Amino acid sequence: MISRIAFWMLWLVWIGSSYAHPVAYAGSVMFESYNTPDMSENNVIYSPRPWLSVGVQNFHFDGALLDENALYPRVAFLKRWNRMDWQTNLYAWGGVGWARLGSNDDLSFLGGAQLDSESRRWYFATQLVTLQHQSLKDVWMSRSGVGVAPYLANSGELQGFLIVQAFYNSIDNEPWIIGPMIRMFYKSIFLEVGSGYKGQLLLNFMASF
Amino acid sequence: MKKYIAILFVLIVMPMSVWAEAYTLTVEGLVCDFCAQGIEKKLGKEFKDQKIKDIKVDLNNKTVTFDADKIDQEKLKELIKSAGYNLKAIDIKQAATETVNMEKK
Repeated sequence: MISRIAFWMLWLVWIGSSYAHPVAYAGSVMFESYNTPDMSENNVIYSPRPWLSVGVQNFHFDGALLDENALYPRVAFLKRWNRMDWQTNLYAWGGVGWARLGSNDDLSFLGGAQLDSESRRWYFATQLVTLQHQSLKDVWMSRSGVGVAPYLANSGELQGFLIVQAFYNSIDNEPWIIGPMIRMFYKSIFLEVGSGYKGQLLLNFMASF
Repeated sequence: MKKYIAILFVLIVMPMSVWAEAYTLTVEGLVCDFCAQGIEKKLGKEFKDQKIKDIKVDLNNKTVTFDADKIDQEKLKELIKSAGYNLKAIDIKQAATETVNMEKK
């Protein structure tokens, strides 16, 4: 009972958005949220086609080298390869938005690409994102992870993955965060919770409707 | 006598039964519940006029099963594609899904 309450409290806190799949099935709306101690990224995405999504991304960074709050209307594309036991996805996305860096407003460009492949047992993903600001410091971020499912759940059952993830952020004092994560799927809800090697909390959330 | 009663029973009950088709779709790329939910939602929404019901996704066998009135197979293929997956095979069987309650009619 307590775990159920905790789960829904997390869901309410992090309802901002999601990140693992930048495009979903045609007609879907997704919320995604990706969070480290210094950074949060929240997306609201609508997929009019199974290979296309449009949305809005909020990026917030609060670090010693940069304080940024940005908003990007963005578009994402997907090329997917489906096989009986696995699927591989290649995503690319971009956007133009507004960034507030300290006390300055700046025109900013967002670009990203992601390659992931998963079976019911294995998961692999790698991602590169850049925020190019007109007059201030550019941001480069990268994330890669490998995961394994300790058991195979069927549809409607809770599925878990154990993941090792590396995260790099060029504007952070400590640019690398490496650590384990636990991923849980239940129906249309996805939650990842993990920790960096220095105890940094990592939290990702995704839900589709 | 019993034989005639049995025949009479069948003749009465048959027209009262609603015959639907039992579909089994084999789908490529079905690896998680997120995929399953997308397909279930698309099917339920797009084919609600065909009285689609009992949609079940089996990740072990990579199948989607449901009962419905006749559905155009090309439309089915397009729908699975719009969910982001590939339809590998369709198996259709005739199935009596319910007996109509004549009193309600």
